[in-house]
Amino acid sequence: MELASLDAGLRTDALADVWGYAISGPSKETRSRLLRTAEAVARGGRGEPDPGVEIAAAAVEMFHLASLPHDDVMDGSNIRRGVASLPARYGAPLAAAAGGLFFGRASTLFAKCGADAVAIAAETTERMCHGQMLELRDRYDTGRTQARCVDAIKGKTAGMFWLAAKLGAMLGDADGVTRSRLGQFGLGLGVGFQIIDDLLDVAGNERLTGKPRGTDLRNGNYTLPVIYALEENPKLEELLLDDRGIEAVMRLIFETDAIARAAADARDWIYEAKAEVLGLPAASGLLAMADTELSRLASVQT
Amino acid sequence: MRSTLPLLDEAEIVVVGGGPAGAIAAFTLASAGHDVVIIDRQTFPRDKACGDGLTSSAVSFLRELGLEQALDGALRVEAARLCVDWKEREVSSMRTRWQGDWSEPCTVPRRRFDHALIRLACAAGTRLMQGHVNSPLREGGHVIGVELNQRGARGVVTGRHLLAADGATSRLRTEIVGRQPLRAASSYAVRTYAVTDEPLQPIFDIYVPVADSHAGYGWVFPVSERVANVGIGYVTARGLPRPRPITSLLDAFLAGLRRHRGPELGSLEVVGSGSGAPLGINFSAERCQQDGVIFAGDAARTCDPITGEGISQAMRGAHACALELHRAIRRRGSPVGIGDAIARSDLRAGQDSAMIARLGHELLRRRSPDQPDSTGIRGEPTSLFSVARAMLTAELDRPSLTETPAGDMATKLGCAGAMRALDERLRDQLRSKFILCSELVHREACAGTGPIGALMVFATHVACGKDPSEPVLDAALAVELLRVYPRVLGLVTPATDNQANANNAIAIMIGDYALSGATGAAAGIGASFSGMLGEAVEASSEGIALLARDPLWQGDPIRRYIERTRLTDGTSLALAARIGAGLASGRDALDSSLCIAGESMGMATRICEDLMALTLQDPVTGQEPWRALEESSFRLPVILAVEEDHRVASLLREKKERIEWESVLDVIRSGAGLRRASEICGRYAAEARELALESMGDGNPVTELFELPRRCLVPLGLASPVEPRSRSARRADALRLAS
Repeated sequence: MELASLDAGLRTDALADVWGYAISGPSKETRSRLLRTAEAVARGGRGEPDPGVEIAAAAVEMFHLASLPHDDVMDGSNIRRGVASLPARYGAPLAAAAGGLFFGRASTLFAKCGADAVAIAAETTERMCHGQMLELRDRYDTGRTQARCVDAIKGKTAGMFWLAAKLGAMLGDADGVTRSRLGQFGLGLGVGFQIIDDLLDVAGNERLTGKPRGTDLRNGNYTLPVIYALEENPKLEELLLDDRGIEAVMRLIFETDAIARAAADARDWIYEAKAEVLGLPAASGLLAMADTELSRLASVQT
Repeated sequence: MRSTLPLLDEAEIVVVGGGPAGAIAAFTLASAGHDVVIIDRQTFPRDKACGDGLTSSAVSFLRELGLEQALDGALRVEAARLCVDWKEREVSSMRTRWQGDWSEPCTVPRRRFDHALIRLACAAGTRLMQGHVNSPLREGGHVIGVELNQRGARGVVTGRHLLAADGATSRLRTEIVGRQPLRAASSYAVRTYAVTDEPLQPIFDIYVPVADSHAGYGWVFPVSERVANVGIGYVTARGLPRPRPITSLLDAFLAGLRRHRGPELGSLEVVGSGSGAPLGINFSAERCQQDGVIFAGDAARTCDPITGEGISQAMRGAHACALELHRAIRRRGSPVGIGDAIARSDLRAGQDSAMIARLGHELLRRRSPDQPDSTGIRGEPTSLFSVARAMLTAELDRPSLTETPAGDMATKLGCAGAMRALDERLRDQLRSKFILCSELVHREACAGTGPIGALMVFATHVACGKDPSEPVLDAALAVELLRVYPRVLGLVTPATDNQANANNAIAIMIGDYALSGATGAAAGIGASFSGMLGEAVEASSEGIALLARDPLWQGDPIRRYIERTRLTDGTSLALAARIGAGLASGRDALDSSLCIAGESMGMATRICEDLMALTLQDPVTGQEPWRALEESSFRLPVILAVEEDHRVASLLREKKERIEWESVLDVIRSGAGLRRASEICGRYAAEARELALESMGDGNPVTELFELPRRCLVPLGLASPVEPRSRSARRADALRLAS
């Protein structure tokens, strides 16, 4: 089911235009692809996809869509996927309400997938909320550690990858061990995915990422490359705390091993994810997804 | 590595620092039978900068521990007064907050207070030793004691456990944890004593802004009839222009006081010299223990990041550390989770309070480049930010779901037990790490009429002859959190200045927190309820958007109000009635008259709360009536006032200071808006009652539930005799719901 083909079914016209704008925006649909691929692996590549897969795929995409406007309001981001973000276009109150609308719709869709889906979706929601608070807590905290950063990532981003893979495994009727391995694959892929995103924020090509570099830094969201650079060069700390110093930090990061170290972390997470599913029949689809993520590292400047 | 220095003492527990944190930790541990020695570099009694004022939280803590003796000779503080630009602006809420079960704040000089605490610790069996601690003594990676100078001679004191309470500039912390990372903000405070010829009132005066500093406040309060403690505290950070030397800031403050407040405060002759200290802010639960050393008080950075107040947190945190250590020793282990124990001991020490402070600081940091002459936060902070701040800075009563109008009604209807259980459950959610969020959500659930959603679940359930079970509690929790969500998200503002951004971040964080809790609770009941909850979340979100879409004076605001309220409060109470009855009967109770009864009750409650918000200070959130205007939310009486007199709209449109809001409020109150809103409220409540009778039969005690709005309005003089809405209007609703 394509998100754009979902019936809006709104009660009022209060969010009709916001719905249309958000739903038709560009999307890589990574999460629904992960769900579909995991479901196929769970079936061992045999038979036909469970009919619930389409609803579940829409649910995880909708869930992801719900998290974006709230993130954008909190980060003050005006650009998302190369176009104006919801708060930039419609203002913070409508963006916040739209996040709630998408979240409600995602819950309704998960409910159609049964009690197990509802239970793991609820668990993921709690993890995401927790991760988001961990991230907010550490804003502008130059004492942030690698462990604290990864904890926040596990909740905020990787939780949803875990959910997609796990839900796929459940729909494909995988046994308990396979479900957990697929879930771990999702988690590892998600952490790797986010670390690469964080790397691209300091060392990516703006034309490819669709957003200005250094956004995280300016928001006081110190990610792994910055944490590692601070370890090597404590002088960066003073520059970080001054808006005018951000450009210098972006330059000085390249004089340290920080980029290489964070990239190695991302690789490790994704390799471990691959190791989880290596022995499974028909795992090639998942391995290809992992390799696609790894290939994004190529556009990280060093 | 054993030291070659002479062993001066050996104890089970060595406490470094004899201030309030060290003394309370020692007292607690010695009372529990442990062998404790305190090392302090000075001999008591000694003076100490700042902190002669004890908040009501500090006073009630001392009472809980039976340490009232420490308050001997203390002076009670009866009110707080806020002065902006030297002009008096009484903060009425401060007085309310200090009433009730809380102890009154008081002042007592640190010289006397700290000495009294140390004596109490010694009376409990602690040994006190004077000495200057130089460095920790390590064995392997573990700290097993300290090296110190004692009157020129060096020696060591060893212990199995070490607790460092040696202040914001903690030597041990620097040695063990390493230098403090260059964090966003740091705070300083300085004070002096001044004698005056006028008798001083028992009032705590707060002055903002402090000239030539970025954020902070000045204070004056009496320590005796004619001696005042006068001081200032401020926050600074890298990236901000460096403030003037703090002593010159204090001189300027004193000069300002004499010039502007002379008639009130008298001559204010300074005695002695000023003394100051850095404050331990930036608490982090992960950094409260290392290498076997536990940090408490300022050394654990538990000072309130906004007011700089720290004695209450120091004492409460140290007590929690000591209990944790005692438990660990009893089970022959090492203490774990010290940081969480401290965080749980006081709201303001919670991890998210550091976050609020950092957000607050962000406001300052970001504005400084364009406004180099900024002299502090002016104007009124946005509502949610201010509630969060109020919770951190003042002692709002800790509410309980049972002590609200809905809680009272629950007792009448025989579900007091369920309401208590729900209160516990709501408090326990995620609370060890994010106390502030869970407290804000809990507070929202208690505000206004109280947890009417939960009450509706319990009451419809009980009406079917069942006792509330676990799934019923889950359902009540889910509905109550669903009700909180649009209230909090409705506080997101369209403005894009930094203050609004901080406000919005907090609102979204708390709204998401409530939604996450609701989803989790609903998942426990099953997929179909989760689906219903999802639909209700959608409806509420559309309701919020409807409110945000156009200003009050455009289109047909009354229609939009009704539609919005139906989608938010109406939907959640309809869901409550449906799930309450459904869980009792074991099947989905889409009984349309019961659902419309719930919906109408939601409308009535919301209008009732609008009236309360414009008439009373909310005892739970501390929100004052003028805030309800500033929020520009759709309060029905305001809409009716605009309809009646269009000048109200232009009055509302201008950005104002509090005092002007209050005059607008008077205009609204003098019109017919309140009375008309109360009539509409009554009509919805009467309709709800009639529909419930239809559904449940005459004589069912649950119908008393629908009396709730009237009960809340009677004390406001706003209850009016009412007739239910017309049958045709109700039929239209029933048709709409059935489609």
